[in-house]
Order: sequence, then structure tokens, then C-alpha cells
Amino acid sequence: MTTQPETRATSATAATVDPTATGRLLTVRGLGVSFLSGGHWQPVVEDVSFDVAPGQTLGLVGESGCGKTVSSLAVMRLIPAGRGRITAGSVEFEGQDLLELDAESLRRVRGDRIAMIFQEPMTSLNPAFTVGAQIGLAIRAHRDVSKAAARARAVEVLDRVGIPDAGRRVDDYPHTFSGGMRQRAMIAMALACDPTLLIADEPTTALDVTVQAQILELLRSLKDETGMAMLFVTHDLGVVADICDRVAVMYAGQLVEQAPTEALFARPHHPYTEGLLASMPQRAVPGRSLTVIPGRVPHPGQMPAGCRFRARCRYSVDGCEQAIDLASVGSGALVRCRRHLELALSGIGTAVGSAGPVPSADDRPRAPRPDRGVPLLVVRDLRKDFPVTGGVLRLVRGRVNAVDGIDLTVGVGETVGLVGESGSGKSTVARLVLRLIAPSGGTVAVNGQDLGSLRGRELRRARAGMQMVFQDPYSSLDPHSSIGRSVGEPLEIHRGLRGSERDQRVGQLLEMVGVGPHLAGRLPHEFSGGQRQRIAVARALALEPKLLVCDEPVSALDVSTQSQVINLLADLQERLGLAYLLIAHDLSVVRHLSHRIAVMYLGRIVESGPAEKVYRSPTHPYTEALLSAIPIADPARQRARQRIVLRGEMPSPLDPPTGCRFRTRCAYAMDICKEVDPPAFATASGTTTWCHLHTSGPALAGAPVSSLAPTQGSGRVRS
Amino acid sequence: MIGLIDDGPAPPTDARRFLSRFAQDRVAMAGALFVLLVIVIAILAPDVSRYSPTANFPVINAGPSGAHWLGTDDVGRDLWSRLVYGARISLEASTIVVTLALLVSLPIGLVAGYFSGRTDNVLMRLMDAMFAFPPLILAITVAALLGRSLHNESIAIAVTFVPGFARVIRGQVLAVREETFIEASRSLGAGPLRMIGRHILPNVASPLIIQAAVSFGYALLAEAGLSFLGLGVQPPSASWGVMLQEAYQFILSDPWATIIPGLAIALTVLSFNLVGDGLRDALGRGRERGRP
Repeated sequence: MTTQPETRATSATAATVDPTATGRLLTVRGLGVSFLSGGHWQPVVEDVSFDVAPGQTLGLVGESGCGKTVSSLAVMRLIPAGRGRITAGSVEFEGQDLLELDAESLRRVRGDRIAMIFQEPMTSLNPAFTVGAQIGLAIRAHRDVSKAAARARAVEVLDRVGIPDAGRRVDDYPHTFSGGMRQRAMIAMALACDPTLLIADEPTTALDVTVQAQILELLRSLKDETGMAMLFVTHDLGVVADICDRVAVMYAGQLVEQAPTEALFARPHHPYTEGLLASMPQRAVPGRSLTVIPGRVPHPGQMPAGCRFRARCRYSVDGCEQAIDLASVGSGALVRCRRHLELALSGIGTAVGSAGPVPSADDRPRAPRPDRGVPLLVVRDLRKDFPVTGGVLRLVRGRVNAVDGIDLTVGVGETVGLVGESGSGKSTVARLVLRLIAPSGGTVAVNGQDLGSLRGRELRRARAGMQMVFQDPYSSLDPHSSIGRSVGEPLEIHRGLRGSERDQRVGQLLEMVGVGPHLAGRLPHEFSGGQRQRIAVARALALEPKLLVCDEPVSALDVSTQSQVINLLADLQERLGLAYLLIAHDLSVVRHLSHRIAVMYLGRIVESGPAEKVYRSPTHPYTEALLSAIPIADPARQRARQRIVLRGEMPSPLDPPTGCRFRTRCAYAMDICKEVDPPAFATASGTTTWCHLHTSGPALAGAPVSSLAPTQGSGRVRS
Repeated sequence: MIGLIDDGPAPPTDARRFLSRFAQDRVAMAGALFVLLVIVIAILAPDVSRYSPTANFPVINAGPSGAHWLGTDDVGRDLWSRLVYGARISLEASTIVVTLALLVSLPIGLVAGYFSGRTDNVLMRLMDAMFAFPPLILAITVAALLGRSLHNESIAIAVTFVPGFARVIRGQVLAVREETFIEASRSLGAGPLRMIGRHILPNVASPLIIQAAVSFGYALLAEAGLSFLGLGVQPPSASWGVMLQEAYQFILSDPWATIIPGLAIALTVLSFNLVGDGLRDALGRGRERGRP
């Protein structure tokens, strides 16, 4: 990327974008897209202009509903006909305006010169054809080659994206591929015709952090190798810091800021960008509440005049209601803010806290409660097997060891975070704790009462003392029940409250989570994801439980709303003395909220201990890898850091490895790991770890894994 | 810290949104208007016809005239009057059929879907057994067993509708049961009755309404069919099917008397189907759930 000192004056039409892009591959100018809603055409994207230079990666970021995906789809003219249409602008690609092309010329560009990968790898491959056949189809749509040649090319690209044994896997059907493998196959398909531009729409959002790290690594190396450019749509600023050269921030259908990545992170010029950067949990100081962007993105058709962000902006003044255009702020950066010259916004340089697993000066623990530590939930040797049946007679063919001997204690007023990749069994633990499913072994005791001995009515009563907050706020509330009715339901069941008595309590609960009580009669679909999650929390609190089990409470939410819910949870804990069992894959969220952390892998806990200790100096190789896989939202540090990219994916719990379950992916695996289950080892810092490194071999004896010199053939990568 | 959410004016309710969507669908509206017309005519039968449907006039097999708007049949009865009174009987029959079928199949479908496992297996195999009989033969058998009358005929048709309904309901329940809010309610300690009545039923209501609307048409058709075979309402009162059967023997010499009830049946069944399709579009697919 080149940065030229000269900056061009910006005209009122905002037509000049990124003056630094010398050779342009993709030039989007004044793009406008409208969607049909309630019988009216509502503009959802307005006057969006950006450039992508050859070999460059442009990140398109913003909250959901800001028009990122729509903009990227419009480039390929993939806006669903009848529901949406491109109303204005031009999309110039390799010298031709894609918006002017006839259907056949456009088809020749799609998949050949411009390829696309999507968020959901599970549904973007056709289950009825083999992976090789689908890639072959993509090739033969653009190249006049024989079937055999297309197949050979398919094997070649599959091999290139790291599918092991590509020559054999090419004839497999998509369902035999895991999520990460399918995304690799999608990338292979996209690469098949050597495109010059790859449009990636949240390609790693549905994947685990460790797999995300693999895919990002792959995309980076492909980019270096082939020189293709990327348009990368994402909401994750960590991913942006990792992979993008330039960033375009979208808000409510407009571009509000565009700048080179490092410049944008170091010194944002738009308050919205500042808010996005500040609300990331990984940048929070433990024990302090997160920065939030209040309110929500306005709906199309209800866009305020002038600056669209002003209702949520802490810097808004009189005059912000007047129309505002993008203005150049030097070195190829553009911003749509009236006050950009006078405001000194803080980027990651003036951090509110420290990001990443690097020690920071601030080590303030959260205020302990007097009765904290008195055990509330005690889980001992918890096990769950799911039988696998097959064949005509439905005989049990095997057992999936979803949870294999878990010990866990959550004290009064304490938060224990349970982390791990998908498939590690953490959600099963949540359901076992609440006895939504019956365990195969072990005990769960709440307040000294063993849940295993309870049946029917008694069990239902015991459940009242612990409640669950679910991952997806879109499906955890009955779409046909008003929110007041949903929140009031536990009161009816357990307290027999009716009428005004119930409504009064519902009002209190809604107020407690920051939802106006007069909204009790509305249906869930009228609320945003973050608001729904608050309503779900209100429902969980109705019976004044002592323990909340939160299963990925914020993973379905945008960054800005995520921080609102996280703050709410922290605030409620302080006020009500709640204990949380927090299940999440996002370690920065877990670290921010938790007092203690337990890391799960393939049905077992591999490391547990005080949150900061586990986060700062992991003593288990898996914890270290997990932490390393989270992209840090700081371009300089993210690109310089030493990364550990885990090999492969989690083995099937149907046939777990012998000895240490992590050994198949561990960079430090020794001979003993194959045969002996690692014993628990209590380190001096108060954590417990299940790893042979501490007891045999190099004998870490409690020191962090990072103090080991990397062994040859390890997965450590410096990039 | 936590800003109080205080949104502006209330967005339109579900019912209003549904009505506006349905009203935009012209074809469905045409169907609904025709159905409404038939219902109004059936209710106001004595007011919209000049003669008793069973009164005999000296003119037989006559074409339309000022005295007899649609002409007369082979024994000199006024066709318009018979058509109007016939609408009463036909609609009554289809209402009984759909109501009865729903009453029986709803609990079966809900219970089978919600409890699944063994309960589901037993109930659904029972439904499969009923499915195995050709519906017309089953209806004729039931009607023959119960004796000839409009109500018995309706019961017979309802029996043939039950397995289909139960399957549709069960399928919907199975889908809804997997939603998180069901698990959420369970974790709140809700019992099966509350779960089924409060959470599952409202969420399977939309497809059920669509199914019922379409079934009205089929019930009318089935009633006409059974009446044609002489298993329905007994002369001299007549449903549309009976009119068809009586006129059928003169179809070559006097097609008029066949065409009129035939057209009435065809148009009404078509209208019910159009309404069903409209409901499907307004209630079913693409129902906004607010997901971004």
C-alpha cells in the first residue's frame, strides 16, 4: 500500500474517495440501493463510494443493519430482484461498469473475475453434489476445459486451501466436511478461476476462534501468493486489524469514515468509529464497565436528517442536523462528521485498558462480596453420554462422550466462565446443571441439595432458584407472546401471581434491565437483539434466582449492544449478588465478567483458575492456543505477534484420543501424552492444569507455557 | 450506564399487519369476497329468493326467465331458490367437517408432536392406518354405517380429514418444539399443559388456519361427491351435490340445471383455495420476525 502526501480536495459530491489508490481494480461511486418494505421503496444504502486497488484488502465494517452486506452484494448485482434494486451509482471493475452489463457478460464476471464467499459454510454448498463436482461446475462455467481437467484443478485448489488428502476428498459430499473444512472448500471454489477480487461476507463469523485463525491465515497467504484483492465484510474489528489494509466504516446506509487500517485504529475521526473501538470487550479494564454506544441503528425510512449518528453521538451539537458530506482528513482518510477538526477522538493508542494476553499495569480485581466463595453450585464428576444409534434396528452403535467427568464450583455472587470451542461440551454442561437433560453420572448440587434426587414438581421448584439465559435472543422469546407475558410467565407458574400484581412486578423487572415498563404489551419482533436479550434476562430474574446460567449470552449480538448486555450482567451481579455460570467462546467477554475461568476441551476441563491468571499466563497449551487465536484489535500488535495456529480440528467425541485428549493438536505432545491421562497439577498462582508438561518432560511445574522454547515442528507461526 | 429503552409510537400490531398484507393480495381478496357473498346469500336465503326450494311449479326444465331467474328443474322447482338454500346446507356441512376434524386432530397432533417417542409412534401409526384407506371408500363406509343424513355424512368426511390434519399439526409442533423459547419455558418450570396451550398452540396456529381455509373447499367438494352418491342430505331438501345428482340424468337435454350447481361448487372451492393461498402469503412464509 502506498501513501502519498498529496491530498485532493473533496468536492461536495463526495465522488473522490481514496486518492491514494493509483491502480484501481474496483471503483464504486455513489452506490444507492433500495429495498421494498411495507409497500414502499426504502433506501438502505445511499451514496456509498469506495475503491479497491489490486492486491489490497478493504474492510467494510459496522453494526448489523448498516448496509455492509447489501453494498457487497450490489457489487456483484446479487440484490434479490423484486425485493431490492440498485437505484444509483456505478460499479466499475477492470474498466467496465458492472451495473451496465447484460446478463451474459455479468455471468462471465461472476465467479471468474470476482468470486464470493459467504458467512454460512454449512448451507452454501449444495448437499446433493460432491465437493469436486461443485468446484468443477464453477470452473467449467468459465473455462472451456474437459471434466477431467476441471477435476484435476479442483484437487489442486482443494489441496491449496489445506484440505488433507484432497485427491480422495474431492469425491466426498459436503456433509462429510466440518464447518471449517466447508469454508475451505468454498474458498477453493472461489479460487478455482483465479479471481482478481474476492468478496468475503463475514467468512469466519460462524466459525470457532481457532478455525477462524486458520482461515484468516489461509486468506492472507492466498492473497500474498495470487495478488488478489479482497472486499472483506465483517463486524469484528479484531479480524479487520488482522487482515485489512483499508477500512470503510458504514453507519445507517452511509459511509462515515474510510482510512488506512493503522490510521483508523490509532486515531479515528468519526465518533461512531471511536465508539466501535471502545466498546470491544477485549479493550475493557476488568472490573470497570464497558463503553457503550447508546440506542440502536435507525431503520430505513426513519433516517434522521443530517448526521444519522447524531442521536447516539456524545459529541453532537446544534448544526449536526444539517446535511454532511464526506471530507478528506489527509493521507487518504475520509470522514463524515461536522466536528472532525475540533474533536480529538481516542483510538487504541489511548487505550482504556489493555488488549490481549499481555500483562498490563492495571490488575484491579473486582470488588469481592462478603459472602463470595460460599459454594452455591457444586458439580462433581459430571458425565453425559449420548448414545449413537444406527441401522434398521436402531441399535446403539457407540457413545458420544459429550461431558466426561467435570468438577465445577460456583460460589455465591461469583462468576465462573466456561470456555472452549464448539463441540467441547460446554452447552451440554449448562443443560446438565439445570437438569434440562439428565446426566449419565455425577452429581449437581445447588445450595447443598442434590438435583439428581428430585422429580417432577420438586425439580421444577428447585429450578426456580437457577435460571438460564440463552444464546439466541431471536428465538428464546415466544414470538406470539408479548414481552410482558413472557417475563411474567415464571411469576404465574411459581408464585401464582395474576393481573395487576403480576404486571407491577413485570414492570419492575423490565425497568431493572432498562426497558420501559410501558412497552410490556409489545411483541418480541419489535425489539433489537440487544433489547431482546435484556428482556430474556428480566425473565430469568423474575424468580430472584441465585444462579444464572448464561449460554453464550452475547455472541449473537453486535459489538455495541454486546457491551450493553455485558454491563447489565455485571451491574445486576453487583446489585443482586447473583452468581453466573458463563458459557462463551469469546475469551475477552469471559475474562471481563468472570472471577474464575475453566477451559474445556472435548468434554474435559483442561485448565481452571482465577480469570486474570488464566488469561495472562496460560499453563495449558490449549488455553495458550485459544488466547492466541483471538485477533487483537490493534493492527500493529496483531500483525507482529507470535501466533499459534492449532492444527486441524477437534477430534470426534465419538472416538476421543487416548491419554490426553488434546495431544493430537498439541505442539508439545510427548510420548507419555498418548498413554496416560494427565493428572491435575496445582500451580503456585492458584490455577489447576491438566497437562503432562508440568509433571514430566520439560517439567514446567506451574510456569506458563510461553516460557517453553518452541519445539521443532510446532504450530507456532510468526507472520 | 444502562439507557432506558423508550421507543416511539407503537408499530402496527400483528393483526393489522396481516390485514394490510392480505388486502394487498387482489386475487385472495376476490376469493374472500366471493366466499363472503356465498355466506351472506346462505344466511339471507329466504330474503333473496322468491319461492320455497321445494315448491313445484308447472314449468319443468325451463331456462332462465323473469319468473325463475335460473329456470326450473325436472320437477318444476325454482333453481335459484334451491341454489340459495343449497348453499346453506353445503356450507353447514363443510363447517361441521372442518370443525370436527380440527377438534379430533388438534389434540392428536399436539400430543404426538410434543411428547414424541412412544406416544407419537402409537398415534401416528393409527393415523397411517386411516391414511391407508382410500378416503372416498372410508367416507362411504362410515356414512353407510351411520345412516344417511347430512350430519352423518359430515362426520364421515371429517373422519377422512383427521389423519391429514393431525400430520400437519404434528409436523408444525415438531418444528416449534426445537425453538429455544420452548426450552426457556421448560427451564422456567412450565408444565406440559402450559407449554402446549400457551407456547405451542399459538405458534402452530398460522399453518393451521391456512390448512382449515383450504380444507373448507375440499370439504364442500367431498360433500358434493357423497351427496351425488346419495349418501348426504335426503330429498326434497338439497345441497349443491344433490342438485347436481338430480340434474345429471338430464345433462344432455337440459345442461343448464347441471351447470349451475357445478359452477357454484367450482367457484366456491376455488375461492376457498385462493383465500388459503392468500393467508399463506400473509401469515406464513416471510413472516417478519425482526431478524436483521
